[in-house]
Amino acid sequence: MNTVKNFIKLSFKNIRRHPVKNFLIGIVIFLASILFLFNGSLKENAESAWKDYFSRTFTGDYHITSYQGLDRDYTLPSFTLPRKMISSQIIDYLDKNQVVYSKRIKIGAAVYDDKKSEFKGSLPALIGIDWEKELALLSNLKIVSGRFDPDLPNGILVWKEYADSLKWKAGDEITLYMKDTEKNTYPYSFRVMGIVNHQEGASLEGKGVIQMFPALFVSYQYLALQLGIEDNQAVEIAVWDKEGKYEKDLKKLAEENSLQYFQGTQGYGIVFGIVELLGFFGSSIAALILVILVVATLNLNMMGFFERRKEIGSLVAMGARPFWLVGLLLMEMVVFATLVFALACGFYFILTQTGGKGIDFGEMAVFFAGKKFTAGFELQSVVNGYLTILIVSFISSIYPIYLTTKINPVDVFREAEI
Amino acid sequence: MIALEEVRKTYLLGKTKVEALKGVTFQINKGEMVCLMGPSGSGKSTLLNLAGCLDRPDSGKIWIDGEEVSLYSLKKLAGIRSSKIGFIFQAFNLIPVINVYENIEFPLMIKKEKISEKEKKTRIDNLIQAVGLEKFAKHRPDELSGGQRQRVAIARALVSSPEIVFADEPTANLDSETGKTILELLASLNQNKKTTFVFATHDPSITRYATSLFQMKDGILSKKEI
Ligand SMILES: Nc1ncnc2c1ncn2[C@@H]1O[C@H](COP(=O)(O)OP(=O)(O)OP(=O)(O)O)[C@@H](O)[C@H]1O
Ligand SMILES: [Mg+2]
Repeated sequence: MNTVKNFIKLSFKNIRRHPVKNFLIGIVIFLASILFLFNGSLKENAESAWKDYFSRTFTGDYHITSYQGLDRDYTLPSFTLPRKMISSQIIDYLDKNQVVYSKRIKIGAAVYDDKKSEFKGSLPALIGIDWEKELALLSNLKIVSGRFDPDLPNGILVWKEYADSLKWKAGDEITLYMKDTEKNTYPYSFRVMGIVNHQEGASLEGKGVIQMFPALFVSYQYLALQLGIEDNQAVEIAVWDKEGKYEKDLKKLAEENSLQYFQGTQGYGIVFGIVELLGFFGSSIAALILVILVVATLNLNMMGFFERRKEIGSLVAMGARPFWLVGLLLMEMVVFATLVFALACGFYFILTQTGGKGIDFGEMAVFFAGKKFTAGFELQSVVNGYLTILIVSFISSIYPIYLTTKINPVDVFREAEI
Repeated sequence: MIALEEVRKTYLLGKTKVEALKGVTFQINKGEMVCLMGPSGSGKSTLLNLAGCLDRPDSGKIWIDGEEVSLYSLKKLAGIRSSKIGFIFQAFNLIPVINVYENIEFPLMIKKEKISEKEKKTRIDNLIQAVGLEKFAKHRPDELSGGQRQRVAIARALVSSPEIVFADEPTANLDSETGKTILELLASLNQNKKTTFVFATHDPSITRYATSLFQMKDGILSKKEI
């Protein structure tokens, strides 16, 4: 214990003594740390912006779907209703905890073109929602043409991108084939009462390779009646729980009932791979930084090693064992890395506090669901950054430290006389 | 206390062999103040390094306190140095970033055996007093004169209560006046604390502080009468 204390004390003193070397290593570590923190923030921004986007446009913060066993994602609705609906256990849990949620019926509907007498290729998701509840919760949805009419039972709202692709307009009568609870497929006719689009995140259009949301919204009650679904049953539950207070419980319940749990943030991962892209981007930068960091600090540590040969030689002469020396030098490295990293954190924190209204990434704003980027301070990236800096410092000092243990004082003193 | 028997050490300088020690046999008793004289290149430093367990001989035997150390591993030798041996170097070799007190304390940090903080402090304070540096305890080495630095080195060599202290030309970097006071200090420590000193020197004027005198020539050691 005392030894550690002494090591730390000595480390601080030694750090002050090689100002140039330590300044140079310090700058490299400092910049790398800032980049790490920034990188973490990049990903976090993308995640939270997209989560918010999905939550307010489409999916809720997360939802539970009764696609038993089928590993489907949001873009691929099933033409068949699930054998089992959302269990009452989950509904009870939600009611008991007064969670904000909405029941939905989701089903894949085949679009029939009356004029050409043929089916269209794609299978859009027809989603039966509680109009009153969800039109308020989906606050990023905007009706861009037509209007919402609560008195029109078979009225649907169509996602603009999808409506455009089928040339549907407000007021059009359309035919959809669906399978009901008896497994019979019938045509149902609907009236397009409005075309919806998102308010924020406009820069998304044309960026995605796949069609984003082939989605149609219809009244839950009307759809339940048509398909013969008993009242109060749901294929899907959308939950608005920004803090994720109930997330863990619900995830567990979903698992127990073999239902699919889906989080808003998973949505963009599946749809665009944006987080993967940012992650790849980030790790490429990080890898580059690390290589530079290792090379730079290794060089500087080697210089430091030669500078201190004589001193280390006298420590060895005094009876310092290799193990002791390694401890001392490692501690020096840890103390130094910690100091610089703390400094970088402090600096970065001030940056985030004075960052203003955020940075507009222009074309690249698609990464952040069209929002501005605001540098944030993420605990996770602080931890990751610190560990990385420690590991890198360790790698780049291990060889110089190894050389140190090979120092022979007799040689060193002879050299010193030259 | 220290005995060498037929100790040989040969160095390779390129292709030529340099026989630095050609079979040295001698013995040092407790409380002695041994002076090693000899021209440059005669093997004085080599002898001190071997006797001080900094290096190992090619052949021959070395005993310290009756323990044969000539075949010990480097790690084991480090332990012997830490507990039994002190060094005073020509070039002082103090640690520049820490003050006088901390420099003297250093060998105690390396030591395996536990010494209480209180005991540490009294030891160091006593030594600082003995070498006359009370006013400089908080100064860093670069704020001291050469003579003062060598005093710090002496105190440092003595702090772990070694049985023997080796000093390789301790006065070579000092003017003759300062050199004399350093030797006087060693002599008084030898008298008062019964510490054994072995020092090598070129300077005939400081041989008079020795209780026994050896002459080194071309790797061969011979005793000289005082
Ligand atoms: N590490 C070494 N490599 C090669 N030769 C060495 C080495 N150490 C000593 N020698 C040689 O051994 C001989 C004795 O050297 P040593 O340093 O012991 O002499 P010295 O008496 O201490 O000389 P000085 O008074 O100049 O310090 C010299 O010829 C020297 O060149
Ligand atoms: Mg010499």
